[in-house]
Amino acid sequence: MLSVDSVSASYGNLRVLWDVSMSAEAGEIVSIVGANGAGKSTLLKSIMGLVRTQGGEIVFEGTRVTGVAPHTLVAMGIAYVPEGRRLFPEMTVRENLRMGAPRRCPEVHERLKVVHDLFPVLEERSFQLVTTLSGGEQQMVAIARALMAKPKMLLLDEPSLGLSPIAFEKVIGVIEKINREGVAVLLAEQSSERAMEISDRTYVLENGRVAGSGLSDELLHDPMVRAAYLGVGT
Amino acid sequence: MALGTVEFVQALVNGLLQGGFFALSAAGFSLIFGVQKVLNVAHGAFIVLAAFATIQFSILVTPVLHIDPLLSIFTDSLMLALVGGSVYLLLIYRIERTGFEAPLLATFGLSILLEYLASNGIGPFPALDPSHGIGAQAQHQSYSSTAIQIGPFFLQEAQALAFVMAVVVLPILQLFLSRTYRGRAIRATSQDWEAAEFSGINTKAVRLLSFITGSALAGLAGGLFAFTNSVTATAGDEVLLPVILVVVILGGIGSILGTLAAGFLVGVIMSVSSLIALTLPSQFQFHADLASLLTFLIFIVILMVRPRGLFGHGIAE
Repeated sequence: MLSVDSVSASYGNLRVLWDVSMSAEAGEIVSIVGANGAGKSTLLKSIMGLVRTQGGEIVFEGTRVTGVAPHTLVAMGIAYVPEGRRLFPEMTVRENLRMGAPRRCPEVHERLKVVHDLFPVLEERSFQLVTTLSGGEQQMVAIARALMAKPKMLLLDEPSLGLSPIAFEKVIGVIEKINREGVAVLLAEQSSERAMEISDRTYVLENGRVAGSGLSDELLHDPMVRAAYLGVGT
Repeated sequence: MALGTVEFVQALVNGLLQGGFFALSAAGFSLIFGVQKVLNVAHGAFIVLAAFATIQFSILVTPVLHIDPLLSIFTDSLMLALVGGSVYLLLIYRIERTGFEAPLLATFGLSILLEYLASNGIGPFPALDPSHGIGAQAQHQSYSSTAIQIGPFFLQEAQALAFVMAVVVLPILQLFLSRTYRGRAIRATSQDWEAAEFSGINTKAVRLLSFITGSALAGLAGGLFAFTNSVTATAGDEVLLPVILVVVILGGIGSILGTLAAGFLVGVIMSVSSLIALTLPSQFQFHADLASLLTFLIFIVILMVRPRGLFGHGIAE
């Protein structure tokens, strides 16, 4: 469904990704783990067209999408939940959600119902400014806004950031539910163990390079991975 | 000279009418700055360009086709929408991501170019020379001397029209921004363009739309400017831009209804200051400058108290 082949990316003169290759298939949850600064966010931004890549190519459903504008990728079926949520602060919850759906969207009410079923609290908060919501609720708005595009694949960047363990567990539950309904998920997460537990496959990034990859179950039980990336002794 | 109630109320009325024109002039600037963070310093020159077009219209078209020159405000608006769209696509779009400075310098250069064209004439269209040339001629034909009398008060017709345009067009623009998808897309882009882009909004199209809308408003204001003021080639920079900046900052950048209210406030302050200047003994010699002096003094005081302007802090109200 999505393949990233030898992609590099830089911020100015600072190279952040080095020949990264990865893939995600329909129906999968794929996690990208690694320390702070390993390049997880940059990889998602590169896929989403928010960071200019150098070399390599990104293909989504057979179409080369390297350098394609983010709004076109959304129309093609990729939605993105960024680190830090990036909601529209001077808009209500309902307005934020509406912006996630395309301009001509006859089924906008059905889509709203779907996200309200996933996050009932957002229906109650519909006409509140998003800035008046708690961190967990704001994360729900960010995920719901992305789902309003009815994506085939959802990219999530650090959804645990700033959330209490209980709020994060709720978000994890929703990610699993979305995935069961057929949406592929690419999850970049510093809470590596939890991300690996819910994902099918995992890529481990280290200093902008893929340091390892495999089935999440196997990596979770690999003593070296546990010691190096999960902070668990052998 | 003693200050009578009638004179004072007349000054208030004049100020409100003039304020409508200020608001109309500033709204497009505010919209463009709110969405694109581009300080379009050519906005004043855009208004003069539209005024120039109206003056040419009154000289070349009206005598032949007997069309009321006032109708040219709509063709001005259309023309400026085209000019604005072209300026965005050919100039601003290519440099806006580089930061704040390049678009500022580019629009500054553009305003110099437009001033040059207006003061030298464009092709078959003669230059502006309001003291004894075509500007004055158009003024003479215009509505500037026509006034509507209501009781003891007089409303200059063209100014009243600018007021009506402002109180009709700007709330409609506000409704557009708050109730339609495209309007919300403009607001979303102004709040976080990257988030708008990855939410599926084509932000290039949104920026183009806001530049076109802002420029069309400059066209509307410019057409009316030709009927209410003596138009010179440099009026954009010397007369309009300072007032536009004051109105936009007082109104809260990107806030359309704030701009409307600030326009009225600035209009009233300027008008009442002028009246006060007239009542002062002549040895004070303040007359011409007191209105600007007081306006900017009040502006500075307001900004000291409310640095983000009087009304709201964004397009969202």
